[in-house]
Amino acid sequence: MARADRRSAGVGVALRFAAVAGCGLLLIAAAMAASLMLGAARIPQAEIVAIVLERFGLAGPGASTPGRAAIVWELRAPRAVLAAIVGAGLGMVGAAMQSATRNPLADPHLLGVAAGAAFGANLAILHVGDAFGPATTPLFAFLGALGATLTVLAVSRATGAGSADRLILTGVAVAFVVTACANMLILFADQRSAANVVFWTLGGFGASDWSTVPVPALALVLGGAFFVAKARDLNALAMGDETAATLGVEVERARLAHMVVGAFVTGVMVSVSGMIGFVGLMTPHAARLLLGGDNRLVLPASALIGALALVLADMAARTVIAPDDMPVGVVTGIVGGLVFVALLGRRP
Amino acid sequence: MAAPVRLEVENLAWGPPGRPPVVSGVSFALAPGGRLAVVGANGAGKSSLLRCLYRVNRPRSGTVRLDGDDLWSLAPRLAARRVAAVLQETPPDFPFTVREMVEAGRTPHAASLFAGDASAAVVAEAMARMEIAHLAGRRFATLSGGEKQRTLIARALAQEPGLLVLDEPTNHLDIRHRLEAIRLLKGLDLTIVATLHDLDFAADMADAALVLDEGRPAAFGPVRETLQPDLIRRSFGVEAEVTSWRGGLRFAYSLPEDKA
Repeated sequence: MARADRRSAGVGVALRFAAVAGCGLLLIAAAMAASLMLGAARIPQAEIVAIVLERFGLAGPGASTPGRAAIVWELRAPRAVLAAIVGAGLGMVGAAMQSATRNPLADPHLLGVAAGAAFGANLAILHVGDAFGPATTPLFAFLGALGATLTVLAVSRATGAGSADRLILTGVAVAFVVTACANMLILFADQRSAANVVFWTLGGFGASDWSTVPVPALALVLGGAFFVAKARDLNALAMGDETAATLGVEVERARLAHMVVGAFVTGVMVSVSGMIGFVGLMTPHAARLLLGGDNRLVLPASALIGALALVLADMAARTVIAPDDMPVGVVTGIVGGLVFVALLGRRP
Repeated sequence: MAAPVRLEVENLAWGPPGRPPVVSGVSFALAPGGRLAVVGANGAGKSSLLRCLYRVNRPRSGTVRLDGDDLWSLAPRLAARRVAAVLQETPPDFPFTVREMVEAGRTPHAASLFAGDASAAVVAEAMARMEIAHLAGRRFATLSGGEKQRTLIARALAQEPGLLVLDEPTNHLDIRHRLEAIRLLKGLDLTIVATLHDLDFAADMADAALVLDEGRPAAFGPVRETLQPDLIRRSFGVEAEVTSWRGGLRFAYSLPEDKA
């Protein structure tokens, strides 16, 4: 870390914040541009640029055929945008959860989010069908995540478990019960549709269109604003419960607020993408390896790295077994794990 | 730096919910700038008492007053601007640098996400005071015990408190670093309350001593008059010989059953 340390010594936090944001946004823009070019239909770069410019009203129409414009703008673009939003959300929530619980292994899916979302999705896919149109599965997944989180909070309140460890253990216990119920739904369902459950569970952006973008985008913006505004409190919590208390942080209330906001943001992300592991766990560590521990930098950096990681992972998912999609959760698991091992090797 | 506060503790009692009190009947007053050593055997309630002073343990009864204001009726952030603590809690392996650790001391003062110049100056002064400015970019986890302790004290100073509470500030320090820590503390214009296992250092650092025995105050008063062989025998269960040495006190101990 000697290099990062020397850098940090002279430069103010605000300046480093701007540098991180600038570099990150540039890389993500590049990755998304690459993502637009990737696919079975070979569309020249110049044509893709023209299509995008046309959508923003920066160029006249007629540069491309409506079919090709639809491929770029209606299929590829929302997919890349959604991957970036979900990656940013998971990365940022992971960083916040790890600091709030002082647990470097904490993950956005704590507090039963993963199990609840799976339960909701299973219920929708196997037993409800498209009762509310294509939004049925996301809606049920979100409600499941929300329900599981509220259950964890209710149980922890009933058992008086205020500490970070007890809250996480409560989350684990509730997750086991909810997962068992979710599996029971599979058991009692038509086994042919059970394959859809597997596909949803492994995560992906294959079904994205522009209508799926606004809700996760809003969750990202609101959650991000909350976490960054509370970055100093998160730093204090990461330094220890009693230390945080002596720094004027109301420890239990603050931790609960962070975990609940994190669970809600994650619930929204999971509902549109399925279960994508490793991004939320890994990107905060990558951010800290690059920038140190200050959450004023780690939170935005985790969001940016998470976004970049998922856009790239989605590109890989589309390429490896083209023209089919590989579930993006499989890609993040394999690639993320290997990258992480490489990062650990660099650590002094 | 804020002015040192007058600390008044009156008939304080605390215990975990549903259990008998761990400390009770504690009363003492410290003039602004006074330095108090809280001593006693293991389990005497020293840390529990300290937690009442830095707002982790809410007293079951009694009051803690800072310049007349009840500590527990202040908002948490306002309380954190008047009382800072140096604890034994070990931070986990989040890679905070020394500067980031000290900057955390500005948390109760922070109005915006990024520090203003005034705040940066306080942080810089606290680091200079604790002689850790050259370590600013180092990771906290890579520091030696003495450097870590000085960093934690610098963080407390960055809070600009009037009262500084320290839980065993000389633990894990070698002889030289202990002496240096004591000298640093004596040089601060703050009201100080510290627990100290080592009576030599308690006598060096403090001008008053509070002796706790099974959660109750056994004695409170000027160090020289309080830390007497009789009291040490009763509170710690050891024979003690107290000698004056270079303006301080030195203690030699033996087990009573070994007495020839």
